[in-house]
Amino acid sequence: MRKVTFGVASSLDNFIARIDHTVDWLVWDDEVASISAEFWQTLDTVVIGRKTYEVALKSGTTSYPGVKNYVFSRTMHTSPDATVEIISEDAAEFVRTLKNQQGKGICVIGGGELAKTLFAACLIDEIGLNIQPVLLGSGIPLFYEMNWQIDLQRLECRPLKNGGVFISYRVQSFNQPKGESK
Amino acid sequence: MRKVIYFVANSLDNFIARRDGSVDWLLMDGDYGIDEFFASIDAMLFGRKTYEFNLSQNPKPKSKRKKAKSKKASKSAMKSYVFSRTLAADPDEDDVEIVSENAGEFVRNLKSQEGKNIWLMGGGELAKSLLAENVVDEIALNIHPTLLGSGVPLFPEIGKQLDLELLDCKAHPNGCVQVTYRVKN
Repeated sequence: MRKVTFGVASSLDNFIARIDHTVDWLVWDDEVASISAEFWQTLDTVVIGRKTYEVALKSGTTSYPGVKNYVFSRTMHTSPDATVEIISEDAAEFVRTLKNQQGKGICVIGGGELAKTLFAACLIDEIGLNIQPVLLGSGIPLFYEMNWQIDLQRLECRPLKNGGVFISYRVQSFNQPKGESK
Repeated sequence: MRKVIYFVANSLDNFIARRDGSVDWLLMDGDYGIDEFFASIDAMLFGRKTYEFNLSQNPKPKSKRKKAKSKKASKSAMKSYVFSRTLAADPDEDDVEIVSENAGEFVRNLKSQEGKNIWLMGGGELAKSLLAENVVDEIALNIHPTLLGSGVPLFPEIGKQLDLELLDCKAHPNGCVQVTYRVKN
């Protein structure tokens, strides 16, 4: 079965972008580029939420090169890029089917909302975070509230030269919250 | 000048407790340098809810409390400040001061006095107002390997950006990651 990774850079207060979707606070350097390139080697597919994709389009990115791109949207009918497939069916069902096909890893790009849907369907295997040394104060959330507790196993933890911290986790188990009345 | 340090354990999705305040998910098997940290402070700052929760977790009969206090050298005693406009001071607790004035002003004044460092215990609401007032010097988080899904937020939206400098990052064998930052602004 193919591995699905939620891989993203966030602020220490768990935002993936400012309210206006800008990510000017992200630091990109050789070290981050090499971690990213290494990770990219393990993938052949990315799944992208509609909002994240629209932000990418605005910045002039129509697709991620070298991998199969799927964008989940019920409102976009035509793809602006021949290498991008628009998926209007249920995201969880679609990713479940993808996971069962032959292939390399699948990365969930951006989208706390898409990640939430896929977490709820138990489809995410690993989380890779690049935590940047900043409190944004407000923005687009990395994690949305969930009705489940998810226990994780830490795989890797690396402080970066630019002050970021790279941490990866394997999703271990889903639990009904303990001690929660109601 | 004394430093104010927000030292707290959190889940990866940045909750410090479940919605009902419980912290049963915290891993207690690690040495997170708490003894060393405790030796470096002489004051603790609590929001009202955090203080009441702490009391409910460690109920002490008043007589015992008095006895324990008389044994301590009064000069080295740990002082607790509880920020609340509704709580009344407990006359038996002279190590605890109820502060009803503006938290930022009060802490700025406290920092300019002689003493060791100051532990900002939380909760998130007090942390938010002190971060917004630029009186927090360091943030030390022990990030637990779990997504709670919901709970009491570590950082309620502060409404402004604070840049940080990573001072330390330790990976504990139990899966926790301890990160320490200096607040730059």
